Amino acid sequence: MRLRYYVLRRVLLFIPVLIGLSIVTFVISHIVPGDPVGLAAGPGSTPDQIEALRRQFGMDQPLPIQYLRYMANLLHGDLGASIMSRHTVTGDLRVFFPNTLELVIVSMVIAVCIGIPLGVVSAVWRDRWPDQLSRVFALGSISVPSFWLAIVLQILLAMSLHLLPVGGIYDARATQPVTHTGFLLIDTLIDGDPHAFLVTVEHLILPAVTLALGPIAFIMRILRADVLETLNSDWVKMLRANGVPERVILFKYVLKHSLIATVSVIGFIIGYSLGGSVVIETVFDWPGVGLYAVNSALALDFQPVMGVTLMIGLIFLVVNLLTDLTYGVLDPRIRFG
Amino acid sequence: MADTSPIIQAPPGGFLRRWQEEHASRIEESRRAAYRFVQNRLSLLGLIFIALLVVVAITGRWWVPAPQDATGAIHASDRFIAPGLSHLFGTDELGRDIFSRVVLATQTALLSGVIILLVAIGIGVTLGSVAGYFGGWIDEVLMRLTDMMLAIPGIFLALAITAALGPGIIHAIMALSVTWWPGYARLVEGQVKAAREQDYVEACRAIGARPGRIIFSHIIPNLISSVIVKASMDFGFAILSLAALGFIGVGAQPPTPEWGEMISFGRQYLPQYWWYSTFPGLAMFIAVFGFNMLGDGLRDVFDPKSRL
Amino acid sequence: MSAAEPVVEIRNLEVDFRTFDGVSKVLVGVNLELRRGDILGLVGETGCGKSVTALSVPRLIPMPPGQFVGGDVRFLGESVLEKSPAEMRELRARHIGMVFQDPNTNLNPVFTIEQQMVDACLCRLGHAGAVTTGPFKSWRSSDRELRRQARETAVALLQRVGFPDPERRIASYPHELSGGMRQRVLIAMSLAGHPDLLIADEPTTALDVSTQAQILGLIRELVQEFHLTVLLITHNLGVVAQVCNRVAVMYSGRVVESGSVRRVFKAPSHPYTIGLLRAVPTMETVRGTLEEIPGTIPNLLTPPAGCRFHPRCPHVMDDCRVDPPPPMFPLEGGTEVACHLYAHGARPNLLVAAEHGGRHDG
Repeated sequence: MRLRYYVLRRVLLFIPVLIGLSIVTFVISHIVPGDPVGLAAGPGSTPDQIEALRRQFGMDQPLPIQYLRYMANLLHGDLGASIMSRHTVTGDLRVFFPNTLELVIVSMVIAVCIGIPLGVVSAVWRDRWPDQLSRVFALGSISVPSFWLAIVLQILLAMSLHLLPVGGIYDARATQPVTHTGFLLIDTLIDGDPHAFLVTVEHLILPAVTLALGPIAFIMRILRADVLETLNSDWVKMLRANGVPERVILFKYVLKHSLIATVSVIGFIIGYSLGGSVVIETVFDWPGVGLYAVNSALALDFQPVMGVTLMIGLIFLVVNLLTDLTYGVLDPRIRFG
Repeated sequence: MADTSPIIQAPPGGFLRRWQEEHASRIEESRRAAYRFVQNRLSLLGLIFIALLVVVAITGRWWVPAPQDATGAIHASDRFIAPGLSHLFGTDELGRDIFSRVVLATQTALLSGVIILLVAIGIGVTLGSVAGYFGGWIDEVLMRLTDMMLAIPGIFLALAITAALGPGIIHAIMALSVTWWPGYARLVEGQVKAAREQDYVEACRAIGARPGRIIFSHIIPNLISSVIVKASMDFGFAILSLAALGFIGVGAQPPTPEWGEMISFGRQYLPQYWWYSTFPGLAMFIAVFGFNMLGDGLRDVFDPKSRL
Repeated sequence: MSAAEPVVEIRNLEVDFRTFDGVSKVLVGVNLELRRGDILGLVGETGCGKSVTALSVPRLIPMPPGQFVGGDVRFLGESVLEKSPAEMRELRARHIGMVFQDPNTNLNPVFTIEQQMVDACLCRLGHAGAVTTGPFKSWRSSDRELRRQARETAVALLQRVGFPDPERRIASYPHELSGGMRQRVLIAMSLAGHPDLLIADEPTTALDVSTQAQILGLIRELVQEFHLTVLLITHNLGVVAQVCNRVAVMYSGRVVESGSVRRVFKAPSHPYTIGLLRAVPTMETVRGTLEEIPGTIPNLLTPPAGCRFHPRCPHVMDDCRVDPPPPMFPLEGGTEVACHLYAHGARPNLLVAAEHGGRHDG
């Protein structure tokens, strides 16, 4: 089947990209002027102790050997270890990654739910006040520094009005819910604990909304452009000529056509959100890969940084593949076969 | 007797007139574009904004109340004064006037943005046009390379680079330039590839022009508008990225004033001394908003089909 | 509605289009009448306003750039300009069928023929409420029944228009069908609900010649069978000769001549019509010479004063340069013409003058 070959070919193309990424991050992490092992060992350690630590991490070998060992380990699913946390990178990622994923997914759901109607309204009421307002809002959303807005919201809603928690993924003082999937939202539901679920949601609101702002703007803009263009299509004229109600034309026919455009943006948005998560997680103390990457980078601990980079690169490639496949589902003209 | 007069006569008149006639169509195009630009309220507003911003950035040093606060002065007795008449944005933990520092940070931001984009465009356009023009394996390699670099959100790469090289605004600028060039390379590669098939390029090759000349004198001028549009839309985001790196701590270092770094530093004093983090961010918001307005406006002018 | 009342009556219609560069006076006083059973061919060069005229009946002209500035359009005795959007939708669904020019762009590419035809049929049969918008609406059994019936109607119509194997192929996507088949689908759609009027805007222009012939033959049959009144827009006089019984010739925003096809083609009255007919090559045309009307169609932003045809008219008089032509008035044989040459009862013999290559001395 053509589809299988297409998917296989795409997946095989992942490999050179990931190898390239790994080389890049590996090279970068070894231009380090500082000495991460020395940092990790802490002040006051003797040179012997530092040497021992270095040997433990395999960092006494020449560079190409280190790289090959890294790649060999990679094939076993071993991403190395974090000098800072003393855990394996894989282990750390397993804890941190679901949190970021949860945040990104929730923010994307928000973005889609707000962005699509906004885009349609903008297009239908073109150049009138709903449109002007939406466009200004969209422009503002992509201009505002997300970390600043996060802090302002923190000040207003959390610190002054005490409406929402200041940060963190859960109330630190209460007993933590049991981890099943790693996704708190799902875990609290599995446990049948509505209170815990609500607490989780409370903690999600500020970070997810702040992260969603940019994507809302992107979705709104692309949908507006696409709907406007579609409304000029000949087949819309044909539908009107047959007396099909405007509401149906819009929500059934135009929307499906415009969904294609939205899907193309989703890939971009996921990348944007993953990048944005770095600062948002920092502001809200959200234990995700963004925060993990930042802390590791600042401590010159590069195995985690490489691990995160590769992981995100892989996600991106998979998302792009899924996006292209979705096109085939949505637009019958692009089916592979 | 054989006719030895040149086939093509140079038109009479001085150099300027000749230049005007040679480039008549392009001048007309620019005039029309300028007219559309002025018509578009958004871009006009953006232009005014930016002009003001540039003026502030250049002249700030001379009219801010406390320019020395950006270069290391400390006023221990003036710590954390709330915003008011004496200090418009209040003071920080070292007693420095935040207003002065925010204004002077404008210069840092704008200059950095320009450098980042210039470097990125320089590298990207060059590599992209070479790849697009010569095709073959050069093109493949470049495309794979840009694929790879665009496979992750730029900030991770920039983070890794700045962490490796050490914090500092120069390193941050370098890191960001490295992450931005693939976008321009791809933009240019596609257009150059298409342009190569056009008749005028054939004609140039037929009369023996060297590839370098073809690319730089003929193909690239046609790309300029799309590069400018992309750059204007990227500028705001470049400033935001630089501030993000500053926020994380790998960008500009004190005492150099930089918006991101100030916001980050002010966090530990929330919520009592809220002005520390708030005002730099507000300034940044306004600046980026202005650039994005301009970018939108330019895009409307140069590429009205993709009107958003 | 009595048989005497015309189906469509357009009186002095004036339509402007606001463009970036100014106001374009697209229609400056169109007069047109269709009686029941007429197949009227509306002919003219590109840009003369034929589509705008025809689309003004169902009011499908985009109204931000377009504007009704004067005159009246009456359909089935009622003025169309005074109706609300809901009433217009009702009119379009139940009384007017339309076939447009390009079958490639007139069907939504991401929906099957079945989905589009069922929705169209539901609306045209008066059951617009049963159209599904999303997963939540209209899963009532009565609606499902209506949709089933609409599908049957659709299949029957497709069968009638010569669409092969409709029962199975109705589930195809538009891009899987040829241009001719797509046009048949559009025709089938337009016939649902037995409309009073069928408007066909250059229905065969985008098709190859043999398919053209098939579609035209199909239209002829359907007109008989469904008792249709047809307004056929075309720039092709041959199509008019094949299918129509009446013709109206338009030039730059005005109907200049109208009458029975036989009469107008055999004995045209307006100088433009004469020029048009002479421009059609026949078997007798001497090789290498093509008659043409000198000049080009006027710019609608800055049209000529008086009669818009006057710069190209071989019989132009002083009146023509200043006054717009008088409203159409009848000549013998039922033809109507809008031309200064026929004012005050004059009946010049332009054909004779044209034969001799000279102008008529008015």
